[in-house]
Amino acid sequence: MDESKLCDNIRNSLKAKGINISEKDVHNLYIATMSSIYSILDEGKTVDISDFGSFWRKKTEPASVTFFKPIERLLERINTKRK
Amino acid sequence: MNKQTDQSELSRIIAQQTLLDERVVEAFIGQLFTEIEKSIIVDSHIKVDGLGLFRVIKSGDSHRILYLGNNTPIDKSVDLSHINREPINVGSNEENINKEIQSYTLSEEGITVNEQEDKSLNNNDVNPQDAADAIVIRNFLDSEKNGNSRIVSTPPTHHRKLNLVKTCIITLIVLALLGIGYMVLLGSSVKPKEKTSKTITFKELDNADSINYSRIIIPESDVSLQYIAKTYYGNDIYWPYIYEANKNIVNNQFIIQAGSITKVPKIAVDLVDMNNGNEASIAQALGDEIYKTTR
Repeated sequence: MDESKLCDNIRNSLKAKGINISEKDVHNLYIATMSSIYSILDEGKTVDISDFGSFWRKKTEPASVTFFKPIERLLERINTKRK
Repeated sequence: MNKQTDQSELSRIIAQQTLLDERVVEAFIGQLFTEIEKSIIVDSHIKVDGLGLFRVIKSGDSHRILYLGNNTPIDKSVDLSHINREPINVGSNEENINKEIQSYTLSEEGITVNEQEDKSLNNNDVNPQDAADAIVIRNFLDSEKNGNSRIVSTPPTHHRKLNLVKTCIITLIVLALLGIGYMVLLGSSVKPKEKTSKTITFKELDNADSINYSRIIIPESDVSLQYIAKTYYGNDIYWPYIYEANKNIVNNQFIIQAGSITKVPKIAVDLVDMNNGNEASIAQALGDEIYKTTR
């Protein structure tokens, strides 16, 4: 999905929840989130996103490897809604 | 082994970078992954810039998520120029990032950390299914990078239809040419129906001299001696006998006019035997003699 479209969807959803933030702020949040996750993973730490899953990275030569493990409930939701 | 960073801690870090309220950041992160989940469910896949590609694949009776992490940092930075505050440098943590590392790897649900690490360190142990999945994902990413969707990369339907129409037209043209050629060949080989095929009827009269003649006939149209011989003797080679009996009415073309009373001489039964080569050669010789004398 295009980044700007994703940011628009997020902004509209947050607005529906009563959180009004500017387009610029949403864009900044997106960039900061991605760069922060990248930095944390690069430090060898695991990033846990609630109700979604975990990311971690194994640094090897010549290339690093990034992994993701979804939580069971996410898989249950996917399997329920895709049937 | 690894230090855990939960969503709250992540929110704090991001809040410092964006100068936004931590609760807002928390809500943003929650909504971000909610949107990702929506796309995974609806579209089966989503590529998130800076994070990677999530793709749903069917595994047995259930679905699982295939993740292809993006190991390059996002190439944009936070812009706080619209905020009347001292901007915070977002890129401080990125200094140690090895920008040359650009690889995609595969992760699958349900495998422990250690198992996956072992896989990544030992390429010989890579599951063939995972390797195949990785190839599919890489092709997908390549097509996206080139601005082509997978649908576009396959031959469009209308092109296939066009090719089919072309093939049909060429086939029809070839068939038409073959048909024309066949008709030309057929036309050249088939001669027009000869007059011999025309049936000439004869009117029979009472035969007063049945000793010498088998029949007395009157042709209803001009007829050749050969035709009469063929009709009454079974072989046109015996035409000289017709000639000998009807010299007075035969013209120099060996044609008997319509309405002429014609005698059909009686000849020995063995003479009309088609297998009697001796009698046939006699008739042939007689015919040749007649030709010589009349011309």
